[in-house]
Amino acid sequence: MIAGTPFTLGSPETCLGVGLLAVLLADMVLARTHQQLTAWLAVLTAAVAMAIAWHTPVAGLPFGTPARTAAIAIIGLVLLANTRVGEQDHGAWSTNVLAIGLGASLTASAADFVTLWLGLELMSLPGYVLAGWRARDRRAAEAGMKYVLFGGVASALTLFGISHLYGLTGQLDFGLAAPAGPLSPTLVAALCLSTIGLGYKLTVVPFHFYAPDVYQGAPAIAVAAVSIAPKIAAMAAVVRLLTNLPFAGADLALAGLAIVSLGIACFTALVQHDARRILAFSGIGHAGALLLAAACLPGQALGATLHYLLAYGAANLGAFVCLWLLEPKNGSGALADLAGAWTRRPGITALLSLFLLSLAGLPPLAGFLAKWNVLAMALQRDAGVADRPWVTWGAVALLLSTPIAAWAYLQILRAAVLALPPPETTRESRRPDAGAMAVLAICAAATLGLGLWFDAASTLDAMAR
Amino acid sequence: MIGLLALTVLGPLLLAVLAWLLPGERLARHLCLLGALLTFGIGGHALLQCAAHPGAFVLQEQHPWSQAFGIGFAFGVDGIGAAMLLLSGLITAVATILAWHQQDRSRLWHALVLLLLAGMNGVFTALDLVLFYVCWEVVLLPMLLLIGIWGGEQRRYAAIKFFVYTLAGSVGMLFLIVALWANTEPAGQQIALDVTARTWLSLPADALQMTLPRGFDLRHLALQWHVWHQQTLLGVPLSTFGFWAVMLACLVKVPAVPLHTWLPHAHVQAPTAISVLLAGVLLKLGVYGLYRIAWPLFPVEAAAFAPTLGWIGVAGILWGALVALGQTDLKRLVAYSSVSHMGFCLLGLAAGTVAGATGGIVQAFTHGLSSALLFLLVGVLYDRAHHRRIDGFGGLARPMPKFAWLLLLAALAGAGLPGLAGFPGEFLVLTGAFTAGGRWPWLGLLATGSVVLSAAYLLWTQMRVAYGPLRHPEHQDFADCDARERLAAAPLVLLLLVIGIWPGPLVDVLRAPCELLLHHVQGARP
Repeated sequence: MIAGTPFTLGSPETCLGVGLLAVLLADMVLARTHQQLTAWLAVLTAAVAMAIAWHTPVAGLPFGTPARTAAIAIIGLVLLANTRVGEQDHGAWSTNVLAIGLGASLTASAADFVTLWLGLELMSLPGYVLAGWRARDRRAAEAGMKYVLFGGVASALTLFGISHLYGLTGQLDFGLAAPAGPLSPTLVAALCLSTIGLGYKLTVVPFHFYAPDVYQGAPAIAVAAVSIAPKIAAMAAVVRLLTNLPFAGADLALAGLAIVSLGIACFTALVQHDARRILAFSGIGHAGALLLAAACLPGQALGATLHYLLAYGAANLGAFVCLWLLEPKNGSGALADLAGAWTRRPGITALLSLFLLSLAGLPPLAGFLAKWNVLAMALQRDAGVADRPWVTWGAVALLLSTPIAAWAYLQILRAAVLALPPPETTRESRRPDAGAMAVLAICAAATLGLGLWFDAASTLDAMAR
Repeated sequence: MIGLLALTVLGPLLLAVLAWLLPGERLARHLCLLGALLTFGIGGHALLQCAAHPGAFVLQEQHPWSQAFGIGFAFGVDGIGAAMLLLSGLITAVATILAWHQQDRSRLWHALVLLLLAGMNGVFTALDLVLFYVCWEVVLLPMLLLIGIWGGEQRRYAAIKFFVYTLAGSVGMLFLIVALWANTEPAGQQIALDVTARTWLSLPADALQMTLPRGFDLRHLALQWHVWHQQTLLGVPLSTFGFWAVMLACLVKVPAVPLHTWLPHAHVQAPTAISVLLAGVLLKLGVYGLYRIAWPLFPVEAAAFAPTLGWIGVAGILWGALVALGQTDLKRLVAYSSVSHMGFCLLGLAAGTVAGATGGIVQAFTHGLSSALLFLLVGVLYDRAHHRRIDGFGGLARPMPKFAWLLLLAALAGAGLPGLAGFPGEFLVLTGAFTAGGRWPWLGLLATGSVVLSAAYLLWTQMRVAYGPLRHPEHQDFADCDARERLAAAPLVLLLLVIGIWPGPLVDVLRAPCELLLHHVQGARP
């Protein structure tokens, strides 16, 4: 009945699952002095899973392979950035992050609604834990609670929709036996309900309300894990749904969501006073741009989507690692607490600026080329592409939101680079270790490389087909 | 192999990295000066080449960048680009000498100035629209940091306003660039070649037809203007949309009234050397964009909307002059005088005569010299008095005779006195307007009025600052311009005199590309 990817011993999910259990066991068994091993075991697990994912094509969806690999790679980099045991319960940290990777991998390769739901839940549950990681902090408690409540409702609605889909068609795989002719309104309603979970993971308006609070309350490094990998996986699921269930008006719906997300995100980001909240709204805006890319499917939009995900992933991960390294001991992301970062850590602050400018879409960085590719897809008029005024309006929204979003990113830059340090400048922050520096180097190289390599999208498109 | 023009971009980029990473403040400033002199030298060489090949693009080179979109690292300059490149190198050298004793984080400072130089050079030498746009945006970041870190009291506000304002102005251009790509035939476009096209593309006289590949070569795009004249985007003709998108991006940079409001803030808050760069080169990016993108790519719209631009220009000329008359802060005064003088560039191009168009770009060049000198002198005063209020000075000619002479020269050049470089540009623009027929003489007449106004505010300032009795006894001890300040001013003074007395060669080398441009615009029929 289920025509999805057969999960075998050789699939990345198996590797992640086994590694996750091994880390859990090692955490219990190993003495305190050997805890460092668990951290490296987790990194190793992610690396092996990534290699497997790269060499194991996702059945029926070429796009799934690079997406799944990228999601696991992001998880691996997050683990690599934070290998220093002692700050927190490191075994639990590694397990949760790996579990997000497992969920992302499952979501990206899902071909039926049950696997999709399972993957989404697997990403959500560890996310709830990470959001409330600093349990004694009021903000973290609020973040965790909000995340659980919103996530629970989204999950329940998704399941509700899936039950209707099953009742209407007797099928659970994405093709739904592809009913001939237009979809019935009931079926469309059920489909909309069952994709709420995806919208929630993508942080698309109107499913975005939790994001700013979670980003603000969770440790910056945890946000890096819960913000990027789920987005990549959810986009893979969106692409698969759209290719299996092409319905008339998809471009209108997606472009509409994109316009609303872009518009709300850029203006709301402007009035924030917390770097992580600004980045949360940035994520909402970028999700809108991603939906705009999805609205251009089919065509060469697969490459554009993948490039956008990679560019966003590299810059966002880099930005969060930088913020994590710059934040004071109490974990505050407030702009006022960033003041004088430039004098304390010029290198990290310069990298933070690079990532923020990439997110803002300034050439010649990756974010610019990502935006360029989406625009090129949205405006193309090659033979066989129907006239899509809504997508064009989406492109207009993407452009109009650019300077406003850039203004919001400049608020972070203003605090970190331009503002004077407060008189007592001896604020302690984390010392970057080799792992974190390696992650930053990879992110910076990707941010520059994906920006200068203008043919990246067409190469990626060939890969994703 | 990397050619000379690519070197003007890559060289400063590489030097910027070196200046930032290598230890030693002395090294950084020498690297910065090296980058500027390199640009100046290549610009001079290009100018001589242009004089030998009127109207053609010299020192061309092309390196592939994107196969999928047809983008290349294409460089080449005609007289306009070469003159701007020379100006960019010269003003950067002046700014570097001015900031020679920069103490605070000087390696970063020089690295950013070099990055700025690379961006400006890229704009002036790019023959590819995407490369042009990338360099156009690259300029923003160093400027943001240079104003935001080293500026005055309200530097953060001014820097962010500058950044967001100019970015907002140029996103429409990005939209246009992508739309142009989307609306050209993948197989290429076949077009008939006329004399302009042959000169631009350096083709022999017997070449009559050519298939232009899909891509972003500026000359190819200019020759395909009729393609997007027939396309629409959301119901608006693509060419109309594109013309206004480019106009918006350029008019913000120029800056034209009413899009000028970022300029006084940026100028007042910026450190002296950066004000010099901003007025000397950055404002010229906007004028250059009009000459290189808006007019060639959208000739029909350019002809149709030229009167609008003419009125915008005249509005800027008069508004800038009148507001300058009422300023009490020296830097704000010079900033508004820039708004006024840059209006002449717009009027000249809009008038649609060879004299006007040539005058517009001559004015851009000479305004770069005179405004840089004015800002330099304001900086000299500020270094000594730590304020810039005009009524806080008086009689400075006594303790600072050299300064007073330089200020007089800069003021007279700015006011357009014959014999100094301000004159040929304004004269050509006004001639262009008076000979254009229709309502243009009226615009010329209004612009002429501002010559009186600019003489009034500049000479009145000169009088209040330099002449009369010494108003503040403590100014008696002010040191005159020292050797470094005189060295920074020397090339500007020299060029102001040379171009003022003998403008022929510069005008000639700028006239040829302007003739071709107007030929192209007037030959375009919808």
